Amino acid sequence: MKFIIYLLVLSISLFSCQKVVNLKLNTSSSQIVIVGKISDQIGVDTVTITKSVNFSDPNVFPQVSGAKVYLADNDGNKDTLQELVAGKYITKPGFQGVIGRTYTLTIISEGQSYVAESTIPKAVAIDSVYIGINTNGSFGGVGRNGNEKAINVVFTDQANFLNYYYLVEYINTVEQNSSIISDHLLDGQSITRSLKAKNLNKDDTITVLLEGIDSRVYEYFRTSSRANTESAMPANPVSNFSNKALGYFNAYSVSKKIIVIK
Amino acid sequence: MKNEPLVKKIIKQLMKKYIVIIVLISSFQSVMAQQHFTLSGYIRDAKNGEDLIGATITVKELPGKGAAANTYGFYSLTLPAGTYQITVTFVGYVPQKQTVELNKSVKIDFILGESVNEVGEVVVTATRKDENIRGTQMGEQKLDTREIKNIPVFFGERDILKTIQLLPGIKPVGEGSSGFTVRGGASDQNLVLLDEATVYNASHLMGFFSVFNSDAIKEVTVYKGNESAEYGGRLSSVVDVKMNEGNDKKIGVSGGIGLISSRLTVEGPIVKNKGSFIVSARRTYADVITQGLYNLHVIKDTMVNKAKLYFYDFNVKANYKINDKNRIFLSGYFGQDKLGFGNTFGINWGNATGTLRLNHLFSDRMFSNTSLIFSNFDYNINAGNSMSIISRIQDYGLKQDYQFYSNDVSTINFGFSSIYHRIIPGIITLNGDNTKTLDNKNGLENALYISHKYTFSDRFNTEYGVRLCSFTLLGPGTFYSYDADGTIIDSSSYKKMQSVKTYINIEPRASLNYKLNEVSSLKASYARNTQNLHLLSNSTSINPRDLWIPSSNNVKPEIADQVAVGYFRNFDDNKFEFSSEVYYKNMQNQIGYKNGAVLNNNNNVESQILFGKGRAYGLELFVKKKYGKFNGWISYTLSRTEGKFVGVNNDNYFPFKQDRTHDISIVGIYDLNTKWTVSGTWVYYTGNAVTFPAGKYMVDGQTRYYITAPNSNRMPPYHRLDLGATYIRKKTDKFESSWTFSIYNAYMHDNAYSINFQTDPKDPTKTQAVQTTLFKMVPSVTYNFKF
Repeated sequence: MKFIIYLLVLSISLFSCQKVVNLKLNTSSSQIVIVGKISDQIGVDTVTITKSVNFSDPNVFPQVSGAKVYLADNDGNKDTLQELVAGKYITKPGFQGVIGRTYTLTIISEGQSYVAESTIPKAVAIDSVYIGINTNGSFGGVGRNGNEKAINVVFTDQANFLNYYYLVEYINTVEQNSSIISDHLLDGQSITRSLKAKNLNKDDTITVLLEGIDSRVYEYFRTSSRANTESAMPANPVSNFSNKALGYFNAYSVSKKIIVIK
Repeated sequence: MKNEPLVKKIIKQLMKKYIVIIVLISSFQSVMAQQHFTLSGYIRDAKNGEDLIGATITVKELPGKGAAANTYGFYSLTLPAGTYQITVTFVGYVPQKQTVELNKSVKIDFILGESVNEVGEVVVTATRKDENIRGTQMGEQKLDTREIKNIPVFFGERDILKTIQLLPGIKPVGEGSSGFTVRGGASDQNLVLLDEATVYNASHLMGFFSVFNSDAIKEVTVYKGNESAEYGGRLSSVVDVKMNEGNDKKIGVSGGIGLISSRLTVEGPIVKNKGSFIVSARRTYADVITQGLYNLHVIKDTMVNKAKLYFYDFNVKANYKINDKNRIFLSGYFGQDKLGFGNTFGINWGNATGTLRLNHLFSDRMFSNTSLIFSNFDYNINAGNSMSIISRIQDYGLKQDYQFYSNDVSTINFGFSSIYHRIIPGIITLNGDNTKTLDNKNGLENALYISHKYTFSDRFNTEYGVRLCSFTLLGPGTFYSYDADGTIIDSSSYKKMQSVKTYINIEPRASLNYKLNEVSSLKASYARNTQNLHLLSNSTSINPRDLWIPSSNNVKPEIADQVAVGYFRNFDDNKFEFSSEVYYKNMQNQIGYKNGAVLNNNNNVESQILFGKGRAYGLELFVKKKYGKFNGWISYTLSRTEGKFVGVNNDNYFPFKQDRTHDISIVGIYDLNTKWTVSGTWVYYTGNAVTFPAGKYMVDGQTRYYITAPNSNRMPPYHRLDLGATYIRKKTDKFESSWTFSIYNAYMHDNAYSINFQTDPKDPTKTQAVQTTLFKMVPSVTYNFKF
């Protein structure tokens, strides 16, 4: 809606302007920020632990070293993650998450413990990826123009199950945009989503990942959007970690499709 | 639950009480002394026959006794037999004096002519010079459209909802907005009535214009929570807007041509002196201009070229005097906003209202009005072929009001209203064929009221009353209960018209006026208001998609209790009017939002909200110079409004977004000569309560902002000067024309519309705050004509 207001103003007055301002902001004590991700793919999964800083500080976020990081699943498996570099903790090489299992990530740092749980949902295959006309309209935020080119991703939702997806696009390994999708109102249907297709050249490789995520991770992504922090009663994103840690723990499944521009 | 008989029971109970009231009133009549007679009739404008609402009648021999014309221009005054010198006065009109020999009840209609001063301008005087000292009413602000015609305007459009924001206790929700908050209440806690019909969304174009075309509007009265028992349904205020009746003497055409909008009004008699009509239309054409600029290659953005953006509205009213005892009125409004981008996205929304009224005089002391009321607000969203949403709220109402002028010191108003609300939250169509309908909600809102105006003595008078409200949520449908996490714990199905939940509230109201001397008085008032329709709006701007929900098994009625005391004083032979009021308002069952609440397209929207309490208090000061070549006012408000919700801000009170500590408005109008009138307004207010980052952190390579206490920061203070000038080119009885010039934000202050936080594009190791200003300066010019 804000966009519409800007447009309204632009079209009738052309008088609006923007400038950088100095504000007196609140300060806060440094908060722990944990981002943990494990997938059903073979590889090394990581957990990063950093701290928050005040708004006026430079964008240098302290790494949290020396934490104890434990990963367990509901099948009785346990692992202690090793600190690779300061603040970055890794699973054993060759680790692979199992669909359907619930994983528990426990962090002990500076005498405090933080716990999060996440379950890997079933992977949903991508039916096709093709260059076509943007089908999102302005709701998807991709284009406002009816005939804009887009990368269309088609997949079929798993029926009778609450699915949540994280869709991300890479052009030549550079991450483009990502979006979250819930099957609310779309259960069991064929879903088409349009992604950005700007500045594409011949031989560009487009990789699309459709990740299955659980409801709490979806809630985290949804509530970390800008609209939520600017609402009438704003709040921090809903984290699945205990003890007021910022960030999230995501155990997810991956479907992948690659196309090359001809 | 088998609840159908319950509704009937309530109605029966209400009816019983109603009969008791009527009996009570008849007994009043019988105790009256024999030697009293009634003077009654109508007070109207000599030129066009418009009813003069609030015109007053005073009696020279009995100071302190008098009457005021009601909404339909009717007055009734019962006095002991005798000969009296009667004076009739009304704002901007020549007072009329008449000697009346009252040895039997008589009917006299008074026809007043506009007073014109030496510069040819209408003199705006008070209804009665010392009405603010004599009346019991507090927290009331009344504006006549003629009174505001010289105030500087925004985009060339006079706007009554923007003018009321210059009064104490009434604040705009944002830059250039017709949305407002009253005494710390939320913007949905204002009942906006157009000829008795509820207007659910009183704004056009995201709030930059109100739906009220000032050519069609006679006057607006704002009651800031201390309204009499006749009104009800919202916590904070009632904005009662009344349309013109139309000229019943001759056909007239008037209009205005502005830079982005034009207006045209036609009025005239249906049958001369017996009935009249008025039709008023308006359309903006910002899109026509942008299209033109695009064609001239001034604007190169194709997006703007494809943008569709305009609104139009119509006001229609007709009235006819059937005979001396009966008169009917039909009024209607229809407006639409259209906004879109090419074929990919569009949203249309608008209000429609209709009121059919019958005035009936049972006797010269008993006036009655019966209204059939319809109101509709809907929106329709299209996103190409992929999605469409239709949503609607409708009211079907019956309202019956009686005014009984029992004697010279006592007037009784009583009546009832019954409104059937129908809410269609959304019919969603995906990909052209897959339709999903969110559950419709139906409710029946009944009210029964009585209020008594009584003058104890020349010094002491009072108005007290009570309003009994019931709200019943009706089937059909499945209704859910939720636990604290918003998970469904129970559901039950109800048949059509079956009662799901009923709430009954008693709302006592009272106000007292104690006159200290001829120029000053003390007033006190208490009122309870309840609200059964709630607007869910979690954005910071006005949005047509905001959702109305009724009270239900999960949502309790909002309740507000407000006490206010005031000191009123007039200076210099009533040339200056001063008032000061303090108020305290306690609010229960206030609505808040859970973190990340999903309010759109959600069938379980009641699981997304929080309930808490609120409190608001403040001081309002107001000085007005009412007449002379220079007139205007200064208004100041000091206030606070806070809420408390479980799980928010550690369960402590925090400021509502509309909390503003200081608010100042200064309005000045000066008649230079017969041709020119100049005016200026200046406003200053504390910025809205907002939440800025208290820290930042990194997640997945993106900087995120960490917040602590909600609404603990402030937008920068807002201030703005507007200037206006009116040049009367020609003024004869046959033809009038004038030019209106305005400059909005004359000293080009960069007021913050929004502040966003981002990584410094020049130095990625830093973050910065960026302020957006909407209007640096907006000049406008409008040509007005009348013949």
